[in-house]
Amino acid sequence: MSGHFAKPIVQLIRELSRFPGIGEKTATRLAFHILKSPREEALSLANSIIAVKEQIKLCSVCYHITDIDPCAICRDSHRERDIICVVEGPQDVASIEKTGEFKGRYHVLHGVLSPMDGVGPDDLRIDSLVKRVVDGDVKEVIVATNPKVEGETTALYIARLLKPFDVKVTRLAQGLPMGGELEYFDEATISKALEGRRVI
Amino acid sequence: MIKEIVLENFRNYEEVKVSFNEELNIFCGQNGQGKTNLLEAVYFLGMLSSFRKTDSTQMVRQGENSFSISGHFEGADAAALSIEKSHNGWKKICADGSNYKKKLDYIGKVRMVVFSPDEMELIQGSPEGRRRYLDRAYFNVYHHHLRQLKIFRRILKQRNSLLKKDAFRRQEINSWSEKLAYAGARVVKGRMSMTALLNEKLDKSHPFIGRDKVSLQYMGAFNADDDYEKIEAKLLASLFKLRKEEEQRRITLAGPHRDDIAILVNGVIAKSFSSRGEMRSVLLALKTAETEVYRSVWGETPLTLLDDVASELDIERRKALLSFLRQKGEQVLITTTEVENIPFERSSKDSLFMVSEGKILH
Repeated sequence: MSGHFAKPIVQLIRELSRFPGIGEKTATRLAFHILKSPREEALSLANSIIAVKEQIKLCSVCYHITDIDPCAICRDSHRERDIICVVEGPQDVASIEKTGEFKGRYHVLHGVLSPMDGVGPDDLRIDSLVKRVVDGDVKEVIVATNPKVEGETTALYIARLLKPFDVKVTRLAQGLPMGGELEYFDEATISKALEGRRVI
Repeated sequence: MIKEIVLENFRNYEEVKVSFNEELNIFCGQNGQGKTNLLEAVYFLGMLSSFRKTDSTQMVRQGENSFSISGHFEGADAAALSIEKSHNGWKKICADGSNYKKKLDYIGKVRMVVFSPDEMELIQGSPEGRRRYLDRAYFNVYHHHLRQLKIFRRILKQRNSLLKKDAFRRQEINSWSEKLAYAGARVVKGRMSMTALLNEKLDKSHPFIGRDKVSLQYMGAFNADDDYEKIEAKLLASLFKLRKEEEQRRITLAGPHRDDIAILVNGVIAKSFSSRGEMRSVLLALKTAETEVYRSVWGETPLTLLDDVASELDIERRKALLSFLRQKGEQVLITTTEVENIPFERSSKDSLFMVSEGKILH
């Protein structure tokens, strides 16, 4: 379909359709939206894309994405220094921050162990986590990787690696989501919730 | 109990609707007319997979794009099931009006026991077939077993990928070993539970089996009363012992994926059986025990699918089997080439269907 359009439009459609979840149809609609929008808007979009590539780097302490190194969370002197929450990716930092419950700092692994995808410990920010634990006075490491096979194994790997050091390694609790009904959960969820039950 | 099934473009059926009777439903016809296809459709509707070894890509009728199966049930976990599948994959998996995205959440709402000629593999074939049989059977008792198995397989795949690499950290393989042992213990324990349940029922001999005592034995370094922790520790110890060999062969050498289940007749492994009729009897004993396990666990009678049993069971065993099933009030779907092969008395609870060229006549 894009063969009927002028070259710059075809090029834009091709670029846009590379985004996850965007097919050629949606890409065409987006391209025409950009074409029709005021010049300033289109420029602002283009500049934002460039800015993201040029200004965003990884925090040298926790490897969260940031424009200023160290990142805002690591710079914040009110945050507890002795507790680190380990997450798979930057989006997970945002999810936990939204709760407002966690006052410590983070460590972003940028993935999980997955030999079939060629991801080993050296591809993740694990050595730097150990270094943080050894160098600083960290009392607890919360491993908040996803409760899938790879996330679980990564959590175990980290726990075993940190065993020689005087640090408590914990895992996020697994169980029932809020607002659900027991009869609709699978056995895995319910048995995990049973395992993690507590006194009220 | 299955009340009704509707097939569209499934194998050799263009469009067919069958209303089943309460007890015996006999499907009679020459070979290649679609008798087994009908049993397969019933099974497929409940399990989303076939009990046959035939090519599942040919389930869509020639020249069509997709097939659909829907059915009504009584006393099952769902009253209405409906599925549609095209050459490209699943289009609809629906139970009681709800659509399912995950197959694991859908399957097993109707409990069924199948007896088909392909199942002879169970005795003669590879350990894989016996493991699959036991896993399937235990799934019907405890649905969670299949999830455990899926987790175990994922870990196994990851660990094997790691072993394929030229170098890895000791702690990395250790972590995968720990996970494998944890998940593996759950699979092993499940299979051992099912073995025990079946043996309990096999102890009571059935008239069509004769005096032979059939039993199962889960082959592995485990004891029947080992708990998860014990099995896990044993698996981990085996993995540790086999480390050198694993690194050479680059594959996981211990775990439930390598276990076997021995089928014993009077204490002797049934592989070495001579007569095919005898093997069929053993298979029947297993299947009947399976039925009784479900009955005692769920308090509900599974649907029995008997594909072409008459061809190889002698008339005495056939009679005994049918009267056994009848006395339990089970609903049975049975196929045969000759109606004389099935010793039945016409009653209001039985139906005879003639199957010919993808048409079913009552």
